[in-house]
Amino acid sequence: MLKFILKRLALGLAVAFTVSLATFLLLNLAADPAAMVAGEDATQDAIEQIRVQFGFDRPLYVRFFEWLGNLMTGDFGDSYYWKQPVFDLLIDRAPVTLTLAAGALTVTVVVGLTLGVLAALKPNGWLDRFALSFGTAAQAIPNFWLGLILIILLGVMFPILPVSGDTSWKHFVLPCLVLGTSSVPQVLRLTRTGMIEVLGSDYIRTARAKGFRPRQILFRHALRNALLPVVSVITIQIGYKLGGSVITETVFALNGLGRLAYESILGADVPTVQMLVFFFALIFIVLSILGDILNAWLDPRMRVE
Amino acid sequence: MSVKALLTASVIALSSAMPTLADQTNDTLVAAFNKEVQTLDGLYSTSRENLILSYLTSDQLVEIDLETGEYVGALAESYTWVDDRTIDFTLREGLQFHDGSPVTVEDIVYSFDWIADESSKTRRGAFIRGWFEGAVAVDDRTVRVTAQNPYPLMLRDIAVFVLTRKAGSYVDGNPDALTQAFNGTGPYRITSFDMGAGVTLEKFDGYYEGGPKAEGAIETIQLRPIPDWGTVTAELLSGGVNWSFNVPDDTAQDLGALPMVDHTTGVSTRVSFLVLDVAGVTDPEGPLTNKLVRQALNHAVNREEIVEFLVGGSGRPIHKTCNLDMFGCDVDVTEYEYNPERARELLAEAGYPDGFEFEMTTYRERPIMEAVAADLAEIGVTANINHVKLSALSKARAEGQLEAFQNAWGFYATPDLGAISNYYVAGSNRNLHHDADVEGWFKAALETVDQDERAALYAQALTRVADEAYLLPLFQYSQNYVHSVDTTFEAPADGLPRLNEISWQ
Repeated sequence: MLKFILKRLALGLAVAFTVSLATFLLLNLAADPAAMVAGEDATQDAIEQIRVQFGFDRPLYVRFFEWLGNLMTGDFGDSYYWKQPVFDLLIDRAPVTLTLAAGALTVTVVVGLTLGVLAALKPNGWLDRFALSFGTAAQAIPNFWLGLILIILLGVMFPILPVSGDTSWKHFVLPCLVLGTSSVPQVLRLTRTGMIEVLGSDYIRTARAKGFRPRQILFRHALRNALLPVVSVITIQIGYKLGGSVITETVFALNGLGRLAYESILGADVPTVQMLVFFFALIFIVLSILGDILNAWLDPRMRVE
Repeated sequence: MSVKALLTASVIALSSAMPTLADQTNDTLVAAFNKEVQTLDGLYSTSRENLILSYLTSDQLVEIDLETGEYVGALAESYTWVDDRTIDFTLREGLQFHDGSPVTVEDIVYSFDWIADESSKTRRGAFIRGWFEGAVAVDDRTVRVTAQNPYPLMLRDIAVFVLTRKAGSYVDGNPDALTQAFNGTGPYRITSFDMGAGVTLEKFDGYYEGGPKAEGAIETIQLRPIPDWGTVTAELLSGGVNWSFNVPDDTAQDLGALPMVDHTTGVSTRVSFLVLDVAGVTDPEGPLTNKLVRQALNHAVNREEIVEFLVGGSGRPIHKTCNLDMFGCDVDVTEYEYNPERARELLAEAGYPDGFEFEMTTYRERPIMEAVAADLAEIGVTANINHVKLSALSKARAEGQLEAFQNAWGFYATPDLGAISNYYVAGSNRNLHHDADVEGWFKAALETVDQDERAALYAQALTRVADEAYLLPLFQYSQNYVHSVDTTFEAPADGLPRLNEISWQ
């Protein structure tokens, strides 16, 4: 098991290095970062001054390994655009994104599990059809569109929730609904499928024959078994919620990591974009490794593979 | 039904049920910015958002009077030209920084020195280092500023680039010292700044009277970054935002039709044009080196329709690469009216009866550049659009790889043709005509303070540029503003909105 974990960690490090290198090359080769920092009306002198000032005149490999070396010592570099250490930016913005991710995940889990279980109780019944229709719609509707519709309904026509900002819990209701809804279909379908399968199994039939109450059968015996694959999906969804909040944060003007990424890309802020991509990649890498380890722990055959 | 249509219909239907705009009761104006303010120090950002903020928080020695085009005293009560390269500025009495300390001649000298010092790394330094020789205190109220050579844009540069800072503000030479906490001299002082959440400003009680800037009619101004126009729209409708700028034309028009929003449009100093590889940098035998071809391209583009249907607002077609109201632009030059027939004749005469193909590198307003390409296609010329980021365009331009490229020049809101010199002077990679005469005229116009002589030089240059069709001028931009109906707002002539001039109805 230890060998398996070490192998996965080594693979994770290699992926992290590759992501960093690819990001660095894409950010620096596709365009002139000095011109981007200088802005649209900058003179050639100003661009050249910025090139020297920010060290863009040095070879790429020197700059990359300098960044990597600093990263190892905990120095994330300074943002050209925000005039702050990148570490401070991440720390400042992370709470909003974490709150959004937690709220969205709650929406996903509560709505997805509830509808999935209800749908499985009577397959092809009206509740099942409603749940599946809801799932299809939730999957098809883009986040930004749902966001605007909810803003119009609950922020403008019936102004019970604030339209944008992040200064109170109320500000998070609409964005959490939007971000959470997009992942409901996966949880809903997995829960439904798992529950239908489990509810039709022998041991559930036995439980019914023994006279257990339906609620006991449903929650104590069926749901626990049906949830195993759902848990894996939810683990990955944590990564999507943290890394996929760019549009939601932009639409609702939330001051989180997603919007930081959006503004930093527009401002060609190489250190911040580089660090954010690395950070989001790291989240997925860590979650994938945890998932692998969990699966290997549950199923010893995977350790051999 | 589109989102916009749904929004409009629903809001009109429910407008009577909307809550009253609340901000007037607490005397707070909320302005929505599309981008975040990333630093409070205007010396280290040239974004439009920072220019608006800097106007509220910082003063310069002089300001431009938008009605007359003259420079009038701001922190300086008056100024005197000592000779062609020296100006004496006399400070007003009783000037204060936001922390209550007096503004002194030492502060002015410090500001000049800091900005001019290469190690300070300001975004403004490059503009004044080319001419600035020194600033010295003559007495308690007088500062003498000297240029290395006669330089006609000296007052412009001082008015635009030399923001006043308290002596010693940049402790230990730290350029980031004022990024988060700012001490300025403007009519509004900053009370809070939370990156991402925005900036809050309050009227500065110690602001001097009798200056060119309005003291401000509203007690508190909040600058909120809201990146999505749909959200800005919703905030305007729900009373969460009072004012916004740089609004896309269709959105602004839709909003202006609503009972609770006013749409104001004004000109921007920014002009859009195509730079053509006249000198044959990419191909010495290329079609764009031929004058008749360039004239054909100029005749082929329907500027009027592009402005009417795509630019909108106060945009206007141009035949010179300058803002029609600025110094040096008032010249009658050859205008190439829309005439595809004439364009085809010119092409045939140039030896391209079947047209030709070239690459047009663009970075802004893709739909407009598609319209230009479509117009060119009508005369048989295929313009392959290579739409890229500005930084990619800059890189390719520096490497001399561009056959034709789009540019949108804002003149730093300066009403003087000299502000676009880098498209005409020698040694600039934006100059693709390499006409020694034009280069010489523009250079000479930057080395004399005689305005008549400068006007004559610019007239010669613009006439040659138009006759030879070195460029393909397109249009002057429009600037759209939206604001709640309980506010008064007038579009500024230079495209720089002044929030201190907004008041409640």
